[in-house]
Amino acid sequence: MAHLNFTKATDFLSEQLKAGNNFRRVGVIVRTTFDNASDISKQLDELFHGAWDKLDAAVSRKLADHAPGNQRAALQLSYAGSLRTSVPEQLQMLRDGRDSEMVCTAAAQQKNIPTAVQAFLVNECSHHRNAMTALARNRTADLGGLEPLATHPNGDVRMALVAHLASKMRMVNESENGAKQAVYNALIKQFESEYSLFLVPTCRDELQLDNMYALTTKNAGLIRPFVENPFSSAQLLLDVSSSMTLRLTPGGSAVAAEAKQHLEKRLAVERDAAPQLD
Amino acid sequence: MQSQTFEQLAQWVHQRRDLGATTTATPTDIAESIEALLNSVDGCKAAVMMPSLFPGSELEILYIPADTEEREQITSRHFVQGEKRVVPEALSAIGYALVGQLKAAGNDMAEYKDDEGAQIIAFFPQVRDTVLQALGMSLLEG
Repeated sequence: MAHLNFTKATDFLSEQLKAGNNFRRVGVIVRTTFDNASDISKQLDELFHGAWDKLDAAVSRKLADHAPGNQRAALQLSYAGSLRTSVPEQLQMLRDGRDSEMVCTAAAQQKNIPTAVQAFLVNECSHHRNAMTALARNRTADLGGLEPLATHPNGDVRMALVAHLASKMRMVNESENGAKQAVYNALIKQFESEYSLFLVPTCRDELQLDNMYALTTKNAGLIRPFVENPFSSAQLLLDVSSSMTLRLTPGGSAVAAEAKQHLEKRLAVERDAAPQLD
Repeated sequence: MQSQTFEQLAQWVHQRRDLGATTTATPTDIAESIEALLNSVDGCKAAVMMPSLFPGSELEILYIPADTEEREQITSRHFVQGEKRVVPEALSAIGYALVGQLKAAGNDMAEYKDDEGAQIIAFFPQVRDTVLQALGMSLLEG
């Protein structure tokens, strides 16, 4: 008979150990966000229906990590900088070991990753989540070349790219302005509220802040960075201070009050700065 | 599982609707969603972990099928889409009810096991390692 049991994980572990259950299993993590409420049933059906194939593919990648040639290649790529391994040689190792996440991740984590290696990883190995996350985090990677990761299906990869962009936004480097703008535009097209935590504190453009604000969920944690950014427009602050949606969330009233204070200070400064007419 | 059991589960969830957040899901929505969900997993022969099945709740969900079929049988199976529909608000309501019940009793996981041995386990993320250790389970990114 089917049963539902509430318990503590530690007690569950004790029971399994007492029962002598020491078998090993493998499963697959499947991440989804239910974007479209109207076909959520279909999404779930496809997700569970496709789980076996996903598990098969994940195990293949894991087994590829254990192939002797790939273990060697991963080690060589880890030390590619110190060993002065040529780019053609690195690319050959990647071509041979592209099924191995370990090989691709080693290549992605290089200091001063060659542009050709980066491009190969983005174009041929994007299904390896860890490798793409490592690449998105790599501060020596060419930022413009990472633009395709803005639409990667995995949220961790996208967030790593967001954090990377945010770190570059603080730095003044004219040669990178084009790349920063391209990545920013790509992220804005599929903006997720959590991006604001990274991008807003480093943003100095009023219009970009307004765009991000319009796309951000109105809760205290996500809106506070906008209030604290001195480049946020007065209209944005006014909207925050009067937002009923925000006030209904935990901590929302405090953020709204803070926005009102900032707005009043700005208006006072503008008033004091205005010429006095007799 | 019979429809009466779905209704009982739905009533259980609906009674706990204020433990987490308000919900607009009716008992009928919840019963239908539970049935649709169980129909969906019935066709799944891989162990699957879903971090965000119940929107708005922090619970992670692990489905472990009964070990009853050979690999050749699995790959040749045709999947038939169920007739019942999952309502998003019902999923949230289920999540809130489970979280509320767990916290109220000081527990951190819930295990559902059916007659054939398939399991659905809901747990808080902070006990994921303990649950996986208990099950002897390794998880790979899909």
